[in-house]
Amino acid sequence: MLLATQNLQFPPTRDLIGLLPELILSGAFVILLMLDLVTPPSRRSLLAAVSLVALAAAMGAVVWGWFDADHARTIYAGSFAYDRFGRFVDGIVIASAALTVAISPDYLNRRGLHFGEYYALILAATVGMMLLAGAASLIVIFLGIELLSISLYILSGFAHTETRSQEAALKYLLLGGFASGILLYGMALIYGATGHTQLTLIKQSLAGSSGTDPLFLVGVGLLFVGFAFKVSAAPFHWWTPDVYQGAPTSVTTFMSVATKVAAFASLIRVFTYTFADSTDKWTGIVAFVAIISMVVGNVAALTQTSLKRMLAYSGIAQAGYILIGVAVSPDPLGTVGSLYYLAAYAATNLGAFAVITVLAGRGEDLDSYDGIRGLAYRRPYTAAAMAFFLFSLGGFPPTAGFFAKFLVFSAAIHAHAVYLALWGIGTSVISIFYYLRVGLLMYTRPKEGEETYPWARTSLAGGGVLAASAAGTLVLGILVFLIYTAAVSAQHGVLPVPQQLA
Amino acid sequence: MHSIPWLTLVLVVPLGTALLLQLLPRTAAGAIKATTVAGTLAVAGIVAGLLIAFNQSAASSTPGRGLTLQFQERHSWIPGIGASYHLGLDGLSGWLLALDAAVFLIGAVVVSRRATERPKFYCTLLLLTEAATAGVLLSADLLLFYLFWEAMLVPLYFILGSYGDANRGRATIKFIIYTAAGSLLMLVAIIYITFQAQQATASAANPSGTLSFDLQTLINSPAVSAAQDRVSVLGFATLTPAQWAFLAFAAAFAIKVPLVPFHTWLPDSYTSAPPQVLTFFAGIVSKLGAYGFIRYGLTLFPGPVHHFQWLLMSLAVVSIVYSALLALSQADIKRIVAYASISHLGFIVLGIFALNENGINGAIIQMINHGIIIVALFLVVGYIEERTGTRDRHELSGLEARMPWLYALFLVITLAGLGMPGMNSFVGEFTILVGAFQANPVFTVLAGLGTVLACWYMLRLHQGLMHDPIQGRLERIGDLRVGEGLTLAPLVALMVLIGVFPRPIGDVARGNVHQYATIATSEPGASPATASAPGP
Amino acid sequence: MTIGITHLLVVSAALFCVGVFGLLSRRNAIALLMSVELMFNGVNVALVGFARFGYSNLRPLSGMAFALFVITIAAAEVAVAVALLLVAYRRHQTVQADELDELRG
Repeated sequence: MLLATQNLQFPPTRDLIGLLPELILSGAFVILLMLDLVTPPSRRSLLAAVSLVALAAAMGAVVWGWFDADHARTIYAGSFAYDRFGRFVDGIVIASAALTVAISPDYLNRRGLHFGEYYALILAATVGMMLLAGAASLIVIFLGIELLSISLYILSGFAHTETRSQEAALKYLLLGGFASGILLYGMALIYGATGHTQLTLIKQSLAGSSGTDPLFLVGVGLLFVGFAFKVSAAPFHWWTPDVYQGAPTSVTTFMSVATKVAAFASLIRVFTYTFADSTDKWTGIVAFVAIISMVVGNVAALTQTSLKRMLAYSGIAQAGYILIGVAVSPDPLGTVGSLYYLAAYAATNLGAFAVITVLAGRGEDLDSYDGIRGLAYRRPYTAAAMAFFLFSLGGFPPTAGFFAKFLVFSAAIHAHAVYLALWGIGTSVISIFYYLRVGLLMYTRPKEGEETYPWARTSLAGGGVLAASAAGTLVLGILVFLIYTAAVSAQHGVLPVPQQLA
Repeated sequence: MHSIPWLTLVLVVPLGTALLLQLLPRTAAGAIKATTVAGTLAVAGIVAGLLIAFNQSAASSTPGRGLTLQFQERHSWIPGIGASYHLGLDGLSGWLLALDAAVFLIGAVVVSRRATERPKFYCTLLLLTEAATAGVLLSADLLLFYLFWEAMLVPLYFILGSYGDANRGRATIKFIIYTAAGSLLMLVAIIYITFQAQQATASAANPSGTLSFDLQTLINSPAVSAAQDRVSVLGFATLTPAQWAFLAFAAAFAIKVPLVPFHTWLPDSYTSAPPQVLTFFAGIVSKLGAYGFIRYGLTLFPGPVHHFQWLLMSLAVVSIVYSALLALSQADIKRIVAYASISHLGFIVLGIFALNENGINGAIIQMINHGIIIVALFLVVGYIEERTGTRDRHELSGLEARMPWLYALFLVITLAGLGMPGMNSFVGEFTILVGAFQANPVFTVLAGLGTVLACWYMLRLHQGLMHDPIQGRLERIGDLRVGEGLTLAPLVALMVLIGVFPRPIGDVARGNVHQYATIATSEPGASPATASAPGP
Repeated sequence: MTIGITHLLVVSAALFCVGVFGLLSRRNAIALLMSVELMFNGVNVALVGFARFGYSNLRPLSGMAFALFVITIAAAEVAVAVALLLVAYRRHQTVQADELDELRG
């Protein structure tokens, strides 16, 4: 009854190489904490530069890993998946982190929050997300989620002098802990039902059974609820608007994108691929949650007057669209659609939040709709970028959002779940209302003598991040084959071994 | 000739000009406008060349259910899902492309002659709209078509939302929501029929089949209308999947045209938009809906088209009569023109769903005519409003005395608008009515009512505005300036020219019209001679 | 009567439910934190119970290792939580969750 020893005979260097990007960022985390002690407050932008270098190195390792992981395998006794699926998601997470770090120094300086721990915590959260994306064991999933969550709890409360930020951090922590508890209980039940924590072994032990063990089914249900919290799918979404609104905008930028991407990756790996033999037991629930998310997110966003809350509800709705790809399991097109959607969502949503971050002035965060009225008359290019992101969120071509929606709807129709596609287009039409309303506000001429929000000047880094997000959104909307091919390749190699895409 | 991708150039020139504008400083209004006119002129030149080089007999040499496209370009785009960058021109899209190039040229000329707020922004959007609408007309791949079809809304949103009267915000969002709702339904249908066609190509060597969004492939795939099992909704057996798919396409096109009862966005946005926007917004966008009906509705769904022929024809008749009545009851002259526009578009749809060569031929001629007439009418309305400051029919009278040139030009436009013999729309409407009569005499007689009503509201408008004693406060207004007259004159000349000499349109389009009529009356897989019996 | 997996599962479920109930009903942030801890400990009991009494193919070490990880991480979470609570208390002189209600909409 001892741990199976044959798994330990792998050469440890091979395992270490598999974790290379995570190791680079963990090393950088420690270095940053020490550098912070010797860096004078006025030169803290150096820390951002160091983080960017580390992220670039990690990105290099991920790209190298993409080619190296051609033949997927698990490392560390089956607890971490070294496959293209994980590298794909790592790439999105690292890019999001890098873009966030690039806009942060200016924003933090203006808000008076420029402390060195910020960058270390961003990197720690990034490591957590990458662990989550590659986790092939329930324990590592839990570790990844907690590493990213705890870092983000602190980051949410980073504006320690503001009530809103503190409140957001406490709410996030308590509800996040609640979600983790539910997730853990589900994991414990699945462990009890199958006897394993490694996903490949769980899948093996499920292969013989019909998947009707009540212990297992309750475990699957609780696990799904836990994940639904983390990806902020309705009806487990109530923390999202408060936390997104209260946290400093640069933190919201990062967590709205990267957390969702990593948590979805893990959700797909666990449900679509590990519980692949019992899809008929749980796809109904997933489809239901997808529909609820699309409806609740889009309808609630209609009445918002805060940009961050609107984008939060929009994010809930987007989670619903991504869940369509999970609900059509085991159709491999669903995973491809979800992966493409995640990449598109990352580029677009990061851009939208980055606009709010870049524009935020010295006083209050830019948040209310009134704050962007007439933006196009003062900052035409920033306004055009924001409008472009809003069109992408609304699913108009030639943007990333269109092809993302196209692919998940295709997956739904391919899997004979046309009703999911119809719910999707119905709610998309609702969403156009609020995206375009915000768009029109920016193009409304401010009245004579009316004071506009004191928008900050866009720095070189800020402009670069907006341009990069816009370019990503455009590339994903026109040169579709680039990421589509990668997503197909990622789906092919995902562990535990998948059904093949035709 | 064949080495140069002319059709891609039609897309690239406006996009390139738009990029070029970004290099100019925001204040250099003159240079910006000149560049825009040059860009649209270049597109018009290429399109004219394409029409001259168009091989009129190419289509007649292709037998069966083929759709002959010329100047084709095909490149792999998303190989994983069988979408390609496939452009091609036929007799139908050729003429609409000419209209497209013409209305954007007029739009650019009009804007270059008046002070415009933020000219760089405006001209960029105008060029982007031109590229998107041209893309709709040129693409021969369903996904590419949809991409341009929806992308068109993005620049239009900014134009309508930034330029227009106080009501523009609401009008713009209404327009976008209406059209996007229809388009998304069409997207689901597109995905559905491509997967159906994919399954039909499955074989032992290729068990999952080949996915393709290519129009030609889908036209010839029997799978699209093969599934005869009715879809059950809440336990009720409803229509077959192909019929649902056709209705989804029809919704997208009917909203864009628009047909009553999907028309309510149009009066709002037309009333809100300024004349320089309406030149291309009214000039080409609504015709794209009719174009979609012919190019995609008739070709992909021959069975459902026959099944729903009565529905589309009756919607067309309702559009013709109902909006003619609404036009009669309006006081705002812009709204009169807007409703007149819907009424005329009803004729086009009536012709298309006659499903015979006469009907389709008439519809094509009438699309061109409608574009010319509606642009001219909106320009006239704009000139009048600019001078008098009002659009209320009752506050305007006796303009003849002050504006003799406008009077003369407006008279020709009015006669063209009401379908006077010798004018362009007589040719179009007559051909449509002949085709419709072959298909359904009752609907044709009812539609004839529309022409009578058109006489009424057009003549009443012209007389009311031009004759009668002039109202005192209008005494000081001036006639058209030379530039304005020169903008209207070519349009008026075209109205007369097409009226007396309509043959070139028919000549270029004939081969492809025959093909459309053949495809629409035959099922895939059967030879056209034996499969002329309508419907499932 | 010998103690078996059923008993442990009942205890674990009870602990978990007490935690959930506490989270939903209490207003004091410290109590909320304790409720989260109760949920985690309910999980630990289940994990260890399965490891000791589970089916024959179970790997006991996985469950016990998992429990150790949960304990460690729960401690980390509490450390962060208490730090956040301290900051909030310094500013508002209260840790009642419903008095922190600036965010809504």
